[in-house]
Amino acid sequence: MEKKCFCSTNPLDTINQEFKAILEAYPLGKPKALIPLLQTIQTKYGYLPNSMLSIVSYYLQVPLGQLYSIITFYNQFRLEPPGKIHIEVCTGAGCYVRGGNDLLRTLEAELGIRAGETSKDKLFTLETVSCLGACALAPVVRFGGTIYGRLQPKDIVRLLREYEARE
Amino acid sequence: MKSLLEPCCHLCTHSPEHPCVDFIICLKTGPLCHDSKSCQQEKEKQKLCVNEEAEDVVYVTIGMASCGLAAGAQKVYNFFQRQLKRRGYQAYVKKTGCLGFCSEEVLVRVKKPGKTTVIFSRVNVEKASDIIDLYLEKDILPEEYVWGRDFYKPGNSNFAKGNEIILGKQKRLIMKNAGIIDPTSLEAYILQGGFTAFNEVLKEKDPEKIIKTVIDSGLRGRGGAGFLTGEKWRQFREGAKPKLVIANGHESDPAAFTNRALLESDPLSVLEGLMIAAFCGGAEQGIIYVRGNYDLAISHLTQIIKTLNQAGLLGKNILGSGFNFNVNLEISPGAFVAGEETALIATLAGERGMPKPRPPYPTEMRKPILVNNCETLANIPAILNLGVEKYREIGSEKSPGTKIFSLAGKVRQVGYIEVPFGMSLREIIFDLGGGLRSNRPFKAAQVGGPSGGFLAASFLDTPMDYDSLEALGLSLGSGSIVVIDDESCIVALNRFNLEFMSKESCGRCIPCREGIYRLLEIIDSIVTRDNLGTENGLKRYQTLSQLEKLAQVIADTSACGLGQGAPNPVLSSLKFFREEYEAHIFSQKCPAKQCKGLLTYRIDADLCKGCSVCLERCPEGAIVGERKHSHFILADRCTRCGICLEFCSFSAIIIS
Repeated sequence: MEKKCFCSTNPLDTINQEFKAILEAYPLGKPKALIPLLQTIQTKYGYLPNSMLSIVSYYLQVPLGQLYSIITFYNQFRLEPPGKIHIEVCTGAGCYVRGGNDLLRTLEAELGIRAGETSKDKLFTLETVSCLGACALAPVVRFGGTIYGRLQPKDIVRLLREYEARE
Repeated sequence: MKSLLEPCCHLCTHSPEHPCVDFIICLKTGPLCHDSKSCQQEKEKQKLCVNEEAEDVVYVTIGMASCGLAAGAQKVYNFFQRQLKRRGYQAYVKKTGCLGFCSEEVLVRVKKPGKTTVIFSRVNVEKASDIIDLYLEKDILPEEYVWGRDFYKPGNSNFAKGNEIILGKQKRLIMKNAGIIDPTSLEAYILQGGFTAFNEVLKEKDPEKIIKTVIDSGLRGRGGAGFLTGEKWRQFREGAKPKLVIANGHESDPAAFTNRALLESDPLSVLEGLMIAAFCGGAEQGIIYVRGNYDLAISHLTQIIKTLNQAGLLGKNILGSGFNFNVNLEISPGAFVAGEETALIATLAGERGMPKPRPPYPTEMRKPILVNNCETLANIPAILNLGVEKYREIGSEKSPGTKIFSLAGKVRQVGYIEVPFGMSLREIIFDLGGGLRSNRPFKAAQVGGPSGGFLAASFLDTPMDYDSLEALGLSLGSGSIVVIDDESCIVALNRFNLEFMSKESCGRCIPCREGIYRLLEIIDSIVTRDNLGTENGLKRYQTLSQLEKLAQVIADTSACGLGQGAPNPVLSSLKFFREEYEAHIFSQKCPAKQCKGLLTYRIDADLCKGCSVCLERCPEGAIVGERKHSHFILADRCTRCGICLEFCSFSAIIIS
């Protein structure tokens, strides 16, 4: 059956050049390219903006509902813009038995947010990851790309203050 | 200097378009097609350089896998590079992967002309500066930094004698290059004997024979299920074209890092295995599938696939054999269950990564797909190089070969180890792992991640292979071993496992989707305090039998490995640590003092100096008191977050 779009304008005409260039690197109407395309968008913009998703849905011929079901299935994708500094707490078993959960709880209490959320001042995004590959330094937390190891809840509060002061 | 991969002179005609059949052998012993003294000399020189043997050159090799980088290897690397250049040394500062001794990182290997190789451990910039000042300038060896000597003789045998103490009872078959060669250097890999097996396979052109060798070797899939790899290959070969081979490096067990270590330290061995698998199965397309946050592995693989294409080892008509093969790198967007082969295929098709019931197995589909774990594939060149007989001598009867285990938790030597199958857990933890940190008593080891199970101290002598663990109702999983001591609570650890699994359940089948949540609820109910007179208090007594029953139902009725494995930790801990559950349920006590819901915090009036630090820090306002007078915790407000404990400088907070 031939698919027809009844909109008066082609959605692809409404987007900026940068996004268009990203889209055009992938084949039109091939749902197979969905995950790599989403990954590229997220690498570029830090999250998956709502407005772009409807275009992606049109471009790859994947219904928007299905698109959301796929995005929310995988841990990597984010629908909200992230904070300036990304805090990743390792909750792998190696870090857990050495107190990783205490770090997470302290951070949640200090920032007043839960894992997966961004602080109100848009400065920190708190996330959990399973294993950063630095089990020898357990428990570890990655602050904006730098790994800090052998941490105590006390240290993490200090670190947080340091980062806050820097911004 | 030119790279060994480049043609030595105009007589060498090898290029991806016009491949030379003898490229691999020529690289090692060449030039073969022409007799030229100068070419020969230059090749020798290049080889000496790769093998760290050239005279008058200082080689500094730094462990820069993610464990090294986390310990600060980049700073050390930059420091060496800057300083050696400034001081006018003719020096090579090289990168290498992980040797498996992650807790000793940053490891730096220094080779001075005419001296044996020395490895320094836990190097930081200050130590690096000492190494340059003392060892390189004045030839005084700072003994206190030395970790190993003469550890590695480049270019010939793998490990020099005398390192048995460091390596212990390990058998490095797959990880022989890890932490030794530059993981992105194709020539170093080839000089270490790499691609010999692939070259032979291409020359013999007898895929059936290779498949038979793999079957005879008894190699079993290292992803967890332990299916015979050779059988899988045979099935795959029988299918119709087009075919696809996938190296599965989607390792999302939260305690396993064996694939990570392999892909960061010796990715070429995985690719060689993948290429042999493709040749035997008749596939022309391959995918290497890596977990999204393995940044370093991704960058290594991107670089290496490019190099292989340039060297003509990937692409059309590889080494003149008529075999075409291309590899793409795909990055996984996460989700634990997406490492299961049918789920992985769904992810690649741009769908939700939910497992499908098998059969039909992916190898039997209309477009057959062969999915092998990266570690399994890395075994293939080793098997072909060693020969079936010698390979089968390693390991146990039904699980031949070696297995890489990742050791984490309260063990002293955190890192990966490679040992023959059948080694006892005791040897692994106490001989190779160096025992427990701060000499606390061993309580249990969680083997195989969140879908594995616990082994108690009385089972320390269990041989680690597929069948012995299966007999105990456990699985080897991806090979992670998390050691815990008496400070860790089994119930809390199980809660952690179940929480992880409940988040990761794909939701397709009810036992797993709903059952794991119910298990979690039951565990939650026993780690909180109840008044025994109330209805809830009475319900506590049923929890133990409910847990057992429900766990068994989930294990029996779930559709895929995730659901079937999720109750394993519960079942095995109920078997070995029943009294700990009983303590939680009946006496409402956590022996390891970890389950916050069962603890009471109070302040010792004699120790408290009234500094008010805890009062200011308490997020719940549960602490009252005046400055310079002893403080008090209001039990009904206290959420047992432990922040006061962290900040008290006088150890006045008592938990009971």
